[in-house]
Amino acid sequence: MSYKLRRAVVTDAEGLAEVFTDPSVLAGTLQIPYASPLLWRERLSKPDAPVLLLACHGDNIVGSAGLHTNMGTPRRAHVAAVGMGVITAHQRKGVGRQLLAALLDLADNWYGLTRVELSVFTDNAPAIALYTKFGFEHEGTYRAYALRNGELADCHTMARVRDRPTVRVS
Amino acid sequence: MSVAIRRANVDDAEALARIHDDSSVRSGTLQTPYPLISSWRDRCAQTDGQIMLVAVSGEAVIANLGLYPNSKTPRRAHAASLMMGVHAAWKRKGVGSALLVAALDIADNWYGLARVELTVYTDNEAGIGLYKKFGFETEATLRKYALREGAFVDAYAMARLRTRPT
Repeated sequence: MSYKLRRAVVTDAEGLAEVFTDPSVLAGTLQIPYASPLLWRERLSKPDAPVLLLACHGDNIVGSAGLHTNMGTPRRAHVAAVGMGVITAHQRKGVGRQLLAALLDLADNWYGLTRVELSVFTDNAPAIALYTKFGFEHEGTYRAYALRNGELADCHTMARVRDRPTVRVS
Repeated sequence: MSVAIRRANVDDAEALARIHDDSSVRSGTLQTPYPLISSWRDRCAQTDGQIMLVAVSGEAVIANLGLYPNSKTPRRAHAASLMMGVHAAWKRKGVGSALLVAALDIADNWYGLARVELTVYTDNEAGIGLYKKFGFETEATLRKYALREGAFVDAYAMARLRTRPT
């Protein structure tokens, strides 16, 4: 199956809200049920909005991935956080791989970042495997990190550290 | 010398900017040189349940601690992060302890939080020792967490868990 990637725009708010009502997306992220399209519209229209990429199957949004930079914190401007979600019906079909590859190309080659970080629920084995394949390493485990379906669940924190482009000044 | 803890107000912005415009304080935080008084004023405004405490000796503000609940993320509303800074001349005199006692009382007994978290540079032994004394445990080592005087430094993520009132 082929998926097309594109940048999210304000008019995708409804579609994004729908993606994030998917139970497995809810379970894997920090979103809440009954996602508000208004909230997504607000997120997408902020000047410091994250780079949000969408994976589309025909006209339908089936997944999204965001690169959240730290431009407001100069001493962490070399760092960005990644968050992503793929709806149940399109999981394990390479959507996540495609989205993550695109985000890391942005991070490495266009933002010139040193560190990309993320947190992932400790029992989300497919996501952990994906991140590991892309060079993310386990840095630790946050206990009782977030509420998920009535329970405080742990998260691993993972990061991928690269040397950013430099000049050689003699 | 006696130190009192009180809630910060916007008039403290100038003193806080001055405390943080010091290389030894800066090396423990994410602040940059030439701090803006206006951004400290914003921090002192304390919206969304944020608490900024200051330690004072006489009239002088000598340290601060911010407690930041995750007010915009309902699924993390049981957690808050904290950050602090102590004037260079007042380090290792119990000021940090006094601020932490006050902040953790709010976290435990008035906000009912399950988790208080922070990051501390891995070479900040005084900070790490203080946090451990208050029950914080190291959960992760974040590589190249921030830039400090021209080099990337690692940070520990630490957290303190409590059983919430039920």
